[in-house]
Amino acid sequence: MIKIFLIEDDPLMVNLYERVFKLSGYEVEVAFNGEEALKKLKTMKVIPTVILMDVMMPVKNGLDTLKDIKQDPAYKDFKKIPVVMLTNLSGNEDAEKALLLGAVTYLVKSQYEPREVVAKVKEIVSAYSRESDIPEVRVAIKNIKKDKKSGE
Amino acid sequence: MKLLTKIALIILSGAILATVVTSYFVFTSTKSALQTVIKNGQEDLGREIMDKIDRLLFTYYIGIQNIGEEESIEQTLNGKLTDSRVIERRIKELQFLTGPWDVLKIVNFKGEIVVSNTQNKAGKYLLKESVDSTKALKEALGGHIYYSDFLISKETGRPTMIFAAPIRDQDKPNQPIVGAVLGYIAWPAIAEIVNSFNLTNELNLYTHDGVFIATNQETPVNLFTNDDKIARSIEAGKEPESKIVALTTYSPSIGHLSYKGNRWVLFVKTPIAVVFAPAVSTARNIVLFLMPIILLITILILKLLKRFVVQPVTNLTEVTNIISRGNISKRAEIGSKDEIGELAKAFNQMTEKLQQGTRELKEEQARLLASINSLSFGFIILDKRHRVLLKNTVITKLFELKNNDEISIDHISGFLGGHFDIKAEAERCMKGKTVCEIKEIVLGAKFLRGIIAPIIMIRDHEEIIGYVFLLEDITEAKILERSKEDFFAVASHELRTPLTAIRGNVSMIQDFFADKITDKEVLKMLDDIHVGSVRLIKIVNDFLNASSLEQKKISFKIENFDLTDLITETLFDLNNIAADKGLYLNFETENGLLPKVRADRERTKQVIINIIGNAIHFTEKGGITVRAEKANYFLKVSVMDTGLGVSFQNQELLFRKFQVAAEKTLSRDVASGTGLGLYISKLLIEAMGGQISLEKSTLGHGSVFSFTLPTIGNISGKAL
Repeated sequence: MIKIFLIEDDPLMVNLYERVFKLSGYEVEVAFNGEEALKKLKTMKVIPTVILMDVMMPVKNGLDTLKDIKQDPAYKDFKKIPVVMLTNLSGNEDAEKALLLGAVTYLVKSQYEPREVVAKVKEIVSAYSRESDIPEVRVAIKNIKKDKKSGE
Repeated sequence: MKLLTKIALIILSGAILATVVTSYFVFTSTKSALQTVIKNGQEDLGREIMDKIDRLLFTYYIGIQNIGEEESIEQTLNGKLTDSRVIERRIKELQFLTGPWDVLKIVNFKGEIVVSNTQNKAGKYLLKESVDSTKALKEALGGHIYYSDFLISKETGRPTMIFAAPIRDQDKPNQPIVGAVLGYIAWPAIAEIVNSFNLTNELNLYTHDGVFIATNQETPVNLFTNDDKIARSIEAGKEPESKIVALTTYSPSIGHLSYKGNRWVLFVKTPIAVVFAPAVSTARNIVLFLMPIILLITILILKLLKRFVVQPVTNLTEVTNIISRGNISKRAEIGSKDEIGELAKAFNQMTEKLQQGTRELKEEQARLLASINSLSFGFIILDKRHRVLLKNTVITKLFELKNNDEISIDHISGFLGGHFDIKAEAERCMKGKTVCEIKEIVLGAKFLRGIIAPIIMIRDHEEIIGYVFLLEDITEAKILERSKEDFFAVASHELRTPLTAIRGNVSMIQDFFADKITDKEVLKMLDDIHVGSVRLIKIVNDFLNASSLEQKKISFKIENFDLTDLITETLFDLNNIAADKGLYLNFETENGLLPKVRADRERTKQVIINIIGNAIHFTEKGGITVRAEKANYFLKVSVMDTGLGVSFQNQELLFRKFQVAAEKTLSRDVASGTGLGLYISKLLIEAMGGQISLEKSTLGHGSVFSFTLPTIGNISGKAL
């Protein structure tokens, strides 16, 4: 079963995404900020397939958390998990930074219907599960990006 | 030098000059007269003295004659002369022997001295005594009454005159000469006469041979010596050459006896000191009396001058000084009706005018000051050397100055945190004679807007005499603007999450639970909720977009891309919508390859969608033509429609924030209906260095919108 790790501070959004993923047949684990997320990651019995993380969060924001996951040796086990960033506005600098830090893509929350989010995640998961080989992952990522652009 | 000193000097030197000149004229004009007077005095004196001498000599002359004619004197010639007793008796008998004579001798025809007032001579022969006595005896015995000139006689041993007269036998007929009487007069008797005269004039008595025989001077240097020079002078009947000058004169006076002239010469000399004595006393009088009087007069004149001339001038000067120190109400006293009085009057008139002018100027200044103080913005007038001439109270408050604090341009620059160089800016404005605006100056928590306006004075030519520096506090406006922006940003952000939740949840109901809803109306309601929330989200996104663009918070991803590709791609997306309305959608490009543009591809697409979307929305018949062409270093994209057009009034407002939403048919906003579509497009295009405009629009006939973007190699395009 595919496991989604949803990191989002706003309960309304948590409910929305948790609900749609569960209705779509995914397992969902939730954390309300970056710090909580990092703690939960370490204690998880099953490593999540995809991480969905908000950029703006209290205590520890999405970018810092992403940086820890991708760069901190303490989280090297989770380094390869594809991370999808959730943002409020397209074209802001945070989103670009997230891509540079290693996020697969970012989704502007207000511009996507819940089912579209599920579809994006599904694509990424299939890309990752089909080939664990890195070059192909990159190709997948490229395609996703292209998708995102034309879909906006 | 003070005026009074000058005048005093002039008067004194004038008085002295006048005295000297007068003296000289008096001197020259009276010189000859004075000489005559002196000469006359000298002649009178000489005559008097010579008369006295003459009279004395004449006395002797007569005396010797009388002795010769004495009764029975002939009898004294008889008798034994050797008998000294006889001689003594005779001497006693002959009283005349005791006259003025120093020596008196009675000599008989044989030349034998019969009687003498000096006993020891009696009985001796006269002839043996001296040549002079013998000559006298011969003359007397010849019947003459004789007198000699001045000579040194053996008889007296001193300078002497010898007188002689014959003695006749009066009893006999014919009265034959029987003897002679000889009288000797020693010199002092004559000299005393000369000596007895005053010492004022110098008296010198000479014989005709030039022998100096008497003087009234105390120390006769060469008495009884023969002076050839004098002798020659006497011979020529002239005065002797001498160094006597000017008033000094002398007059020779020839004395003589009544019967025979002995031709003695008396020189009367009047010394300079004597001549000048009156002049000296006059001078002394002048010094003693006249000079003090002149001095007094001078002082008096000076006093008068001081009172009537100098004092008024001094007073006027004092008043001038007082006025020049600022007490302009001071007036000069008009003391007299003369030129100085006129001057004071004219001066007062001038001061009056000055005061009036100053008052007017002050009033003008007060009005100006009140005007600039009533302004709501800071106002400083400076001259062209950047010296502050005037500032208003706003400036004082703004820079937290005290009322009387002086302020300089450097202060102002300092207060403004040195963000820009006012001096340089002002120089630039003055040089260009243009008004410059400094849009935003941040001073602490304040925002200021500055304006520099040169002051141009037109006289013969335009001259920049300074500039006005206006400083407006735009903090409030800025805060308002900020808070407005912040409001939109925050509100948009906070609105979006719940809206997204509503939209998402409705969408999920539709997706996952539609089959569970039996009532079709509920599904329709859910559809409306979904559409409404989607539209609301778009509105909020537009707000946030515009706000971010305004605050320049949006980053652009600039790349080189083919604009025709992008247009083709976008037209493909929009084709369905156009086709639904039965409109054509054409794309025209110039032949050949257009250069790539340098811009953000996504943002550009956003703009194209907005413009073409509008065109489709406002066109009912015909269609839309898109054209791309090269324009210098830009690519120009024009979108022509055959739609409604935009009313003239609305053309101006099209690209503004929140264009009038009420006139929906004429406004251009389809994307969200917020009135922000074209505004955002404008912000985006301008941020990428291009321009957007409504080229032309005719109501009912369509519009042409266009935008440009810089091509590769455009260096004039804005840096992004």
